[in-house]
Amino acid sequence: MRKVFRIHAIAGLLGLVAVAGCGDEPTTPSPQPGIPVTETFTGTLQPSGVASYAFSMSRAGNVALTLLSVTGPSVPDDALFPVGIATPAGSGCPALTDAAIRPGASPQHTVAKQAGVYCVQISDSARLGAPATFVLNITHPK
Amino acid sequence: MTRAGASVAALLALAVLSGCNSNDEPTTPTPTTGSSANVIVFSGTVAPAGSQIFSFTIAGGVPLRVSLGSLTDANSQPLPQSLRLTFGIPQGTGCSGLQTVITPATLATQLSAMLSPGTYCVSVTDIGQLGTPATFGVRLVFGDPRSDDGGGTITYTSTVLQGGFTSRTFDATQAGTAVVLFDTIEPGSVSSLSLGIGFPRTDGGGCQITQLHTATRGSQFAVNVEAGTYCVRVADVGTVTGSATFTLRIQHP
Repeated sequence: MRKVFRIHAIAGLLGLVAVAGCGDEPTTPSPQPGIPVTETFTGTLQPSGVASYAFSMSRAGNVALTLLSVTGPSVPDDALFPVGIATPAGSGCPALTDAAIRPGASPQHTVAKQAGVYCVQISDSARLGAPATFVLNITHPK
Repeated sequence: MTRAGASVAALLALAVLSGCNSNDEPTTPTPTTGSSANVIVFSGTVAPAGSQIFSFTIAGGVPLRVSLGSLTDANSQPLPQSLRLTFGIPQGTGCSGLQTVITPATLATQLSAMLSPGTYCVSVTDIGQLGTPATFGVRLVFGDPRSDDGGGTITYTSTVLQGGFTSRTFDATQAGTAVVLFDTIEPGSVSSLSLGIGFPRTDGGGCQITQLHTATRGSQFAVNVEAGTYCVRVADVGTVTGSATFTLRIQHP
């Protein structure tokens, strides 16, 4: 019980530090600008197709992409999927390939970005034999 | 990790990440002045229950006017159906709406905003009224196209070949009513021509039609416009053999 009380006290002090150190106290408890959020982009990738997803950052920070899975009837085990980050323009996401990644549990691509609106594009480089469902986590400052 | 431990970890993350930056104050847009304006036409095909999105980035503060200016079928015939027109910020696979309106195609402004620098989007979405894919044209006017030049009358004489068409643009220097008076059609065997009124595409694709009329000698057509550039398109409706010459006048504000 004493240990729990001590942890709560530390937590309270840290909370005070976190708030008192800034001149612009938040008026609402959440959401906090700058706190990383994760948006999950789920979609279907056609053979040689592309898919994109837009998100906003009110603060500069790192954007981390985690391609959790690509599943379908014809997904080669060694397939790499090009991903890129750009600013939305026109009817799509004009991203170049920043990395070619393989599904996994940890972020496969991380890049620093200024505050703004961005889009992530994922594509198939002619490895899929049939449409596949993907799950891509995008973690970025709120 | 215990719940208390998780609380500590969360607060540590908060302490580290919240920082003290206060650089996200809204910027005050600087409106443009004068008669300079840029126009982008976002066009494409929207399927039944479908949606299309267009994104753009603004470097400086500027007024924006958005209009669903054209909705036509596969034969370029104007459709009366309404679409949901949204102005907002790209989010996910769509356009998170700051403003939304359900509207048929007209030459009037349907959405307007003073933009701060940033990335924005417009989208069009079928609300269940389309039975087949339709071609749309959304006009985005950045800046203020008004000028002090005043209105006037343009006389337009040209020739339409069998099965063909011809078009020209005209400017409205302020909001008002533009009137097209169809004066002559030669030879006399040609009883009518098709008259389309719309706005020029910005990709060189010609005149995007908002209204379509059957024009006979002496007929006239009025359309409410705002300051900007518009166009008329005269076409054969199957009555021309060889060619036909016409004269029309455009009275514009």
